[in-house]
Amino acid sequence: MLAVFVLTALILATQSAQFRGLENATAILTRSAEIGMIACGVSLLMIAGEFDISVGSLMVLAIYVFTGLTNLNMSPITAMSLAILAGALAGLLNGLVTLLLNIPSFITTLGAMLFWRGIVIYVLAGSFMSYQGDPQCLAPFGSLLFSHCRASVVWLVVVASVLQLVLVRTSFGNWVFAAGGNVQAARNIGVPVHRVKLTCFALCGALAALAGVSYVARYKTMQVSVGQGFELEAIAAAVIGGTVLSGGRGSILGTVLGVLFVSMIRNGLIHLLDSSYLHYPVTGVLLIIAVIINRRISSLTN
Amino acid sequence: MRDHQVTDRRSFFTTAAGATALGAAGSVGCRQPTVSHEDKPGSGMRLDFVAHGSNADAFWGAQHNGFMDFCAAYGIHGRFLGTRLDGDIGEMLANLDSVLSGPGDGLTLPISNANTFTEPIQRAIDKGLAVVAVNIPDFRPQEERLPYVRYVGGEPIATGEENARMTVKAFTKLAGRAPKRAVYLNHVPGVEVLDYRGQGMQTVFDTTGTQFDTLVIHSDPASAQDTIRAYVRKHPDLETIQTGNSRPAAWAIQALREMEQLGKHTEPFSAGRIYVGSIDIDPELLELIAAGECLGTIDEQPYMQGWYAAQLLYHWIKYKFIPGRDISTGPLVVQEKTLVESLIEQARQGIRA
Repeated sequence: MLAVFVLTALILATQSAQFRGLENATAILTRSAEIGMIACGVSLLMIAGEFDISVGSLMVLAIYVFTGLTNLNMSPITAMSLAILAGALAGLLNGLVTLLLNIPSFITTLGAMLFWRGIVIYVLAGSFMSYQGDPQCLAPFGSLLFSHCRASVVWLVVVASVLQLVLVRTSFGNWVFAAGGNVQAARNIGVPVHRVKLTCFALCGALAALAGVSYVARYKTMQVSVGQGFELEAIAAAVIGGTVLSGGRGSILGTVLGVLFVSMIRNGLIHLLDSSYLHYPVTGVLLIIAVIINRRISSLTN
Repeated sequence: MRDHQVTDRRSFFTTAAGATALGAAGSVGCRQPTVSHEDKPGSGMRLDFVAHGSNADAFWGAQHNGFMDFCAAYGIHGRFLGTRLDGDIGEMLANLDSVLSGPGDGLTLPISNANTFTEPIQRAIDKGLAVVAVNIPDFRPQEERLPYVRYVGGEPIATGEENARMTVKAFTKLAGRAPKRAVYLNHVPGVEVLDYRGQGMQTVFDTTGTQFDTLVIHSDPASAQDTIRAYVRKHPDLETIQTGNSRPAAWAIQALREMEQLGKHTEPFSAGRIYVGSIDIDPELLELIAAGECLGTIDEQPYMQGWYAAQLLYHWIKYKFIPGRDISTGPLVVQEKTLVESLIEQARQGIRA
């Protein structure tokens, strides 16, 4: 993946002078921040053998909770914490329904995706909501650090680093791989599979909520259409980054690379071909190529 | 050679082959942007339009056509960047970041939310770009307003007011009184301009004593029609339907026709019939107006918005010409049969929407 990323960056840089600058590189990083946080959670859950396609709707839920509570004069820090907690609890609920009722996670979270976004649309009666709290409180997420790089990028780096360390250096991380690789074998060696998966579901929801808070910090508005399609973009980035759909294999850093890669393609095509739409078919093709390459590598190592 | 070394080497070559194929495909597909003709007055100039809608939508398609037609006529390198989903501020800002990280002379964009766009517009101005607001202005007082050169477009609240006035006038002419109940169909919940249009309608209907509701419908026609049918059955006193765009008006008209409750302004008033008033244009809606099945629509003239936005930028960048005030492109009431029929062909060409 790294080789593909570097080669693509070189090609785009040689083809377009606009692509080469620091401003553009930092714009790509900033664009990747929220989707990257979501993709990290989705990837972790995929490694554990489950899916969550409600992440876009959980992001909207968190935005609504955060914006609504701050507009009611609650402290932004408290509102932020409650929004992330709401995301974690919604993720946990996804996990409980999936594991206790033995429903495929794709179906559970499909229902959750419709439920949470629909509830917010209903409550807002189709309207929008602007953040009316203290803008200074949003600085830890939304402030410009240098060029086009925002503080949200730092959060992505922290989240990705912590998750990667947990995955590769802790027993919990081993359990995640085991639970996703072979559930029965994992149980046989004493891995608390349900507990591991529930934790991953909750983390995934919390990260979607964190992305929602970051969104408000940047855009200072709440729209119910936010995050539509983010679940597919996150899964695509995870797969392009090497996470296997069947579970048991993957890397958070690979996922972040996948997110950056997709953002780079989107950005590069704007500079090269003056189009903001071409990256959709291109990303689709790249996703299929990535799966083919991943399968080839998997069969060789097996 | 050990197995893992074979695996490593095979993995490397597989990855490299994939990367090379990608690179080759990318190289073949790449082209430099079209160079403007040197003998045209705008040669060398670069203008960008960053929208929160897709060119696939008739309204933004007309904006795109107006903007790009002006650029082509003057030899300007024009670029229109839209979003996949209507009202997607996130994608719009990502496109804006891409624009601001490259060279350019001028930028035009709708100010979908003044708070959200304060910082990127200031960055654009600090970079030396001329900025013109199009389609949606900064609604704040002049002294607080974002420092763009000028605004060209309609006024969403006034557009909503005009839609309601048009409906009340037409309905009163038929029935001798104002409607008892009206409903506004919001087909893209969360898009601010649709909210503003609804606010304008509310203002007018409040003065006529009409009960006014907003109904959130789906942007999928079949689902939208289900919701409309359910609302109509639940509210037998409903007399008019207002829409924020031409597509939901056409869906509503079809649903009412199937329920045999469609009111036609070419026929005498009949209790229980429901009349439809729209905003924006497409060829199908114009034909419905000509056939008497829609009371009329409000045209913001989006082609003109795109055209004048490019023209304002060109004149400001090249000559520092600036009109004395913002340019209003609407609201324009489209109701008269002859006006409607002349617009149908223009709508098919993407000039009217």
